Amino acid sequence: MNGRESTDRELREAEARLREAEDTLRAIRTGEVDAVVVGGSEGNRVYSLTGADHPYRVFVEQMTDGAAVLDRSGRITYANRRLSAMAGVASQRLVGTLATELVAEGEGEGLRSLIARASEGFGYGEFTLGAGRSDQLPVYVALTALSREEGFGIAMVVTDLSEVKMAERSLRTSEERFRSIFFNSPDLILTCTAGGGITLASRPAFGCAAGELVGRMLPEVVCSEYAVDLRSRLRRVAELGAAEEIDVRAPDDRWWELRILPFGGETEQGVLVIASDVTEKRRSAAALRESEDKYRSLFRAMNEGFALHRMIRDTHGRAVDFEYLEVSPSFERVTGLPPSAVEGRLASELFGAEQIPFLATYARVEETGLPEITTGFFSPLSRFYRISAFSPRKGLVAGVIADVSGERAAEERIREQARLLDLASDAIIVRDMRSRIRYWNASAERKYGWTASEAIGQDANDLLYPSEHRGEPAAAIEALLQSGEWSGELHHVSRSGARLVVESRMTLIRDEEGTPRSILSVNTDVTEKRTYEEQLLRAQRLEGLGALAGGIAHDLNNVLTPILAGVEILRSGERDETTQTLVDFIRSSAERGAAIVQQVLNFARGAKGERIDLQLRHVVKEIEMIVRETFPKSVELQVSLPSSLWLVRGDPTGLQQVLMNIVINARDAMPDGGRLTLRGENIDFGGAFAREHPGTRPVPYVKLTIEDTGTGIPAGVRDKIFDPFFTTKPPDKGSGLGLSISQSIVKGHGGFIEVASVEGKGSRFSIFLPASEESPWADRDHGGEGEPDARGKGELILLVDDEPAIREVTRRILASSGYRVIACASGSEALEVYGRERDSVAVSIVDMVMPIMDGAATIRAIRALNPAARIISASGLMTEGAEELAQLRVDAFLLKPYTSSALIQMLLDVVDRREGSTLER
Amino acid sequence: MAAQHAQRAPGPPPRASRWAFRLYVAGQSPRSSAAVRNLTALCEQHLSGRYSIQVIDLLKEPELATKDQIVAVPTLVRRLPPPLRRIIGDLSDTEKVLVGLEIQGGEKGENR
Repeated sequence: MNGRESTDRELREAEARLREAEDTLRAIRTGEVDAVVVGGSEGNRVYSLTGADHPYRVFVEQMTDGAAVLDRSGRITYANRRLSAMAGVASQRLVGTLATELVAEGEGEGLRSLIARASEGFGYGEFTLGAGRSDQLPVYVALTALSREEGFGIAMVVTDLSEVKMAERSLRTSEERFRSIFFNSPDLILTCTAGGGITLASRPAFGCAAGELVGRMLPEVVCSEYAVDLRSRLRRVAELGAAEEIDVRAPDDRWWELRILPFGGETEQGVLVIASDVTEKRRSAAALRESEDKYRSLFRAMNEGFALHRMIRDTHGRAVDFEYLEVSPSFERVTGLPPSAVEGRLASELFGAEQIPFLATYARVEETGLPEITTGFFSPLSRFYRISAFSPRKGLVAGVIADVSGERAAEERIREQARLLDLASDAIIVRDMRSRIRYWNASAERKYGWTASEAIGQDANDLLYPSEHRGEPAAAIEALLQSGEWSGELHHVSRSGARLVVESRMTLIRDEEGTPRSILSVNTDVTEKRTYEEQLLRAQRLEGLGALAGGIAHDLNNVLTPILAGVEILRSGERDETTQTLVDFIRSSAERGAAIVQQVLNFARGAKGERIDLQLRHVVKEIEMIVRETFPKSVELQVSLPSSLWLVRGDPTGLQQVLMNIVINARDAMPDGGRLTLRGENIDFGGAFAREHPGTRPVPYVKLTIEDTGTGIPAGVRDKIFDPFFTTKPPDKGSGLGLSISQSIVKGHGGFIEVASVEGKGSRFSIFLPASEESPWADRDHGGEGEPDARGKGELILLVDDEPAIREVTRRILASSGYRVIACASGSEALEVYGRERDSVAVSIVDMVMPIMDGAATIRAIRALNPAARIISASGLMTEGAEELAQLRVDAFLLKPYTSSALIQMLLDVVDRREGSTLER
Repeated sequence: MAAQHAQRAPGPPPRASRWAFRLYVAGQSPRSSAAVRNLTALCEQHLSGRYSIQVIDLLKEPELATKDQIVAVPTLVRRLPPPLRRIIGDLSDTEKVLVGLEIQGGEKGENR
């Protein structure tokens, strides 16, 4: 190694000397120096070049190289001492010899041709000095033609190469190696002078062939734009020896990365430039940077928070925690946690090991690599978050975090409102302007029978309306579009085909621009309400009629009472048979008239007749008897009454009349005969029936059915048959009150009537009467009326009635029955009498309905005179002032019209009570 | 390899505090005068205040040529900073002189 190093050093020194000599020669030639120093035995002498050639000669003699001047034939005309030493020939002998004779055998010809070439310019080559000698010397021969003034000769400089020859060879090998690397490099490799002059180029570049590049200035070739910068960099690298890099754009718009390295020996510092075309690299880098910039700004500006986590798993691979690697600035906006407080921390540190947000989701995403979106409530921060999680690579998981608490609250609110809408009893429907249903609440589902999913998207006009008249009334639509609102009654149809009457309130909903968008309708089902209203209307109508009938009945009673009373008197007298028959006829007619009036009154007031527990079989038996005796034989009667029939509490006369009315109708419906069926059965309705049939109670009922095979009731009149004065019969055959009175009586018993009829087939009337609370099996007969045979004992009776006929007849009845009577026409008159006869009057009979001072006032006045007075009130109206009567504490109530026996019986009762405690009653 | 070698080669300290030159001239010959002129200007510009120049006229003292083995005149020898450097000629190619003397381009800006 040492040998190698010393050889290297020597080589370098030799090269340096050579270069110095060349430099010196060149300097002399180019005139850069104008003087030389020549050392001699007498000391140094300085020769100015401005003189003759002497200084050259002096200089040449001083050279360490051999030097000679040849003539054109190659003959030496001058040789310096060094050359003679090198050639081993005395200098005197050298002059005149051919230069070719100095070189080794076989090299003469080469030198000769070199000399020939050099005579035109210059030439150089390597030769071996010392022909025929053992110590041959390798030399470098440089030949230069001399000018005319210099005598057309050739200057020859011979340099001893013996020292460098060996080293040079190895140098060449390594140089070859480097050269191959140099020229095969994909990069452009240039060597330049420190000033930028290109001395070597490895390959074509910048639009120039490699050879064309040499000699040009790199800064100009590459780019004028960077020329100044590049030039100073090249120089700096050459001077300082520190490599530099610069990117430059060439004129062809390609980018080059130039790595500038110091290069060169001790005397001349150059640079080595390795240039790579980085256009593509830069382009993709720029694109990358641009997109990165874009994402970075997005990252900063995004509303959602962003967090990158590193998943932490335990030894079993279970995800237990994660670390926040990086969070976006917006993370703070979303969570309230600044990045500085989060980054680098573990979720368990921040929220506690039990409260790691969305750990399961993050762990799954990190494991599968599949992104997920999840929404959840995170209790440590009391917020709802929507997390879009994805895993950029194994081990990492990122989340884009949006605070959806507000959305959640709004959703909750909407859901709540929807629930409220579903709770509403009204059907709420939203449809668009093309009538397509858009919303359908739970109540609409119930009312119409269509579920929301079935209804939404349907045409409301098809769905809600019966097929015969589709769609909303035109007036409704018009009003909606004009005023934005409409309300009214609509007739809808449900899924099952049931008609629905709805009270509909429609509102037009417009969008922000005022364009109609949809129609909101709130529909209240008033089907039942309408039914009730109709019933109520009918009831009111009946009540009005009842009041009217009541008034008439009262008057009729006043007409009938004297007739009945008079007949009693006439009967008691001795008469011939004809008269007696006539009197009986008058009596029965008057009684029938009174009974009819009583019925009218019963109907009008819903009056309760005498109520007893009775077995309907007895009532039906009487009817059965009448039917069998009076109905045509073509009417076949079937009666089915089980003995187990429960008792009902009722008025036998009223119920008999009900049955009679219906049976007569049945007969009239079967002019050509048919079958009449009377059937009784026990019915125990559940609560449901009672709820569906207003007015009924959840109690056991006894049902009586009267069925005929007659003409039936036409559908059009079926709902009018119970109306008073409605009749299908000729005027002289029916009053139109029969069924109306029947229904009134049944209702008065707490029952009801159902009618079923098929035209041409017959009708069925079912009468439902509540079963009595008494033992259902008891069969109690209702007693007949007792005959009055008792008489008064001369007691004084005060009779008060404004009606002269009644007053007179009653007075006579009482008188003929053993009573003394004072009859008064008014309350004031009665008081005057009572004041006088207070102690004598046993009982006062007071008509309730009198002008000026009515019965009640009169009774009060009498009681004022004598609190213990016995008083019977009399009236044609049973319920009139019932409470008042109770307050008045009358001893008995006499219903007009009354028979004489009923009057006497009552008087006997009241007088008999004289012994009892009257005050307590 | 060559570049690395060059990088390791000992150069003058980048900011040598002192520069010493010896300029060999031959009287008032044109090149000698030019050399003195060029060197002075160059030093003033790049090494102001940190240089010294010794001008040796070999016409008057030829024996001094031996010391630096001067064969041609003018020749500039840089004595400091080491190593010795010599430049032959009248120093009119400033670029070449700066490089040859290893005066850094940046030395100029040192006056700030």
